[in-house]
Amino acid sequence: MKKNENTEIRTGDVVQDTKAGEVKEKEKKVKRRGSLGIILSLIVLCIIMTILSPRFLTVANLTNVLSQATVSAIISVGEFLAILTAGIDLSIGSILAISIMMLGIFAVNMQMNPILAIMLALAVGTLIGLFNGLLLTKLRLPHPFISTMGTKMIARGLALAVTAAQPISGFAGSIQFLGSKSIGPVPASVLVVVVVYGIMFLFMKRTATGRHIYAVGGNVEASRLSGINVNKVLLIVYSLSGFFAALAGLLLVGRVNAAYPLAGVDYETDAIAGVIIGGASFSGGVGKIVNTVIGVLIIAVLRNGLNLLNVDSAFQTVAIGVVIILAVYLDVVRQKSSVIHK
Amino acid sequence: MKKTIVLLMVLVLIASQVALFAQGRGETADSGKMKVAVVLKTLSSEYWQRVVNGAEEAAAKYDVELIKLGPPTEDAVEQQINMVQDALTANPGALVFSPSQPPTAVNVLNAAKQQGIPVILVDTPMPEDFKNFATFIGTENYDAGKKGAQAMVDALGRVGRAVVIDGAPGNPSTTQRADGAEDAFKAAGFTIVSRQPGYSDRERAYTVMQNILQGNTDIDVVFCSNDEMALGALRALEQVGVKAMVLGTDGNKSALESILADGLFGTAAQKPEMMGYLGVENAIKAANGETINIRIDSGVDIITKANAQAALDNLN
Repeated sequence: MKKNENTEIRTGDVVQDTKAGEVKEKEKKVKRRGSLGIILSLIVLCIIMTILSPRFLTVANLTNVLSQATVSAIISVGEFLAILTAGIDLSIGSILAISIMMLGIFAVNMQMNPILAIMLALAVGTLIGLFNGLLLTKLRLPHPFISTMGTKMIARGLALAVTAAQPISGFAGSIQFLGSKSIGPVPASVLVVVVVYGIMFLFMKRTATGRHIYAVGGNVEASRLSGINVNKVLLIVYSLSGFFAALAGLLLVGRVNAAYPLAGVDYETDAIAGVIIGGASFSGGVGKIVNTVIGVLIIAVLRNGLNLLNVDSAFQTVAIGVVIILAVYLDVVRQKSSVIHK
Repeated sequence: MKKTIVLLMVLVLIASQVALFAQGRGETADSGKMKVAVVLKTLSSEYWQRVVNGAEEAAAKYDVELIKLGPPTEDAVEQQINMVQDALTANPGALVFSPSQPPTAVNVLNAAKQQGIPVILVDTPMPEDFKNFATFIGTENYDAGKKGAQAMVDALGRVGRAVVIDGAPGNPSTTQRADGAEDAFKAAGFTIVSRQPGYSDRERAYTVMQNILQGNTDIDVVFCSNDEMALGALRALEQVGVKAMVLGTDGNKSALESILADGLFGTAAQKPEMMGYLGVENAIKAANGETINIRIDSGVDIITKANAQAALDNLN
């Protein structure tokens, strides 16, 4: 009897594996398709902007666009991970705010060693992220939409409270370095983005944890049955999301030479937009980290180009809304076609 | 595959064109005129639109080209900094600028200085230790608050109980107005029932006033750091039937209409058109290397029912 059961399960496993393999192949095709399309859209957008404004395709302006996109690019990494697990993180804008306010308190008010202050600020972000993860895994709140919305308000309130809403300025050069200085002709913040995306690309591709994140997003139950510690994966994802929010904050502090409690308002919306335009599926399990940065760049180029063209920002918001809806529509079309092909 | 790519391209095309068509214009050909960049806290409110109107009047008079930018809301701080960067790439003769969060603009204004572009601040000054600007044109906010509150004190004719509704925490202009009002009330021996932030928003101030009224209906005067909040507070008061004088700041059209309809008691009117007009006028002077005063007061008018009609006619 026992023996029989074992054999059955084993056969079942094999069947599941082949199925998973097929699905993976299909997903790979889908992903590759999305990748080419999204890069082409960015190029087309750049060509349009070049035609419309002679000032677009200049070294100075392109450097501006890249450095303008960096904060959003870094904060979107965490949002990408959360969306990949079929979740969402609405708290990243507020985590950014409380992290930089603490950075200001550590580095400016308490005159701590800059490196130590940065490490502590990153720790603040990571811990709040971990808190999000614990709400989800330990308290079993039904959906991260709710738990991270709560955290969003808590973190924003704390950011306002710690200095009674006063901004903190006068950061040491070493703290502003990543956000404001250039290494040769390249802004240091752009290098940070390249390094972060490089590491995350390898992390998602080459490590077991990276693959587990995809698996959890694809199917929680299947992941659990195949022995993945789902809770651990979720804790890692939300902690990383908090960490990247704090890191984005560090770049922002360098860019604007100040920490202010209303920093990062609505940044989660932009991050979600970047991730979705980058082709990640809202139902989880599908998406490429590198496409996220392309999604972010599309928004940045759109904003910059429309600024150069002197277009009212109200219509910039309309334009980005249109892009999001069409990008999600594409996601639907892609899913449909992959179902049909099955 | 092909379909997807084509769709994506169309998507981007449409999105970028939507904005242009909606606006009904593309890039104007380089006219060879002097360019003046105007970057404000936002363009999507009546107050900032009035600054733009003043700027446009001066631009028409002196025949210069305006580059007008501003984020959709006043708290989109980083987006505003990006807009300054983008405006500077056009290499304007001067920049007229109103910082949403003054400390955040230090780096980008230093960059303007390096580019040799003079900066004219309007409405909101930069932190005291910042020197890289040509002039600051704006209301003396503390005075505006003080004068506004004093007008209510005089009209009431006795010692009373006051509420002060502030703007967003950390916003210096609205905070200074509230400070001025609070000091005027205290000097007259008034009790400050409550002072709370209304985030310069009508709905937020409405809620704040409702909450205050939960514990306290004995209120004589309400000072608000802008007109939007005053209208919100007024609504909350009217709903529970509390007769209190409400005074806003700015002198917006909707506030003036409310004053004429016996709603608001009055408003400490700033002169946003004057700020925009003087901003561009002085921008041109600075671009031409003329010396200008480091502080230019754009003035304030206390408007009550007696002079509201005239102010409204002036607006239209």
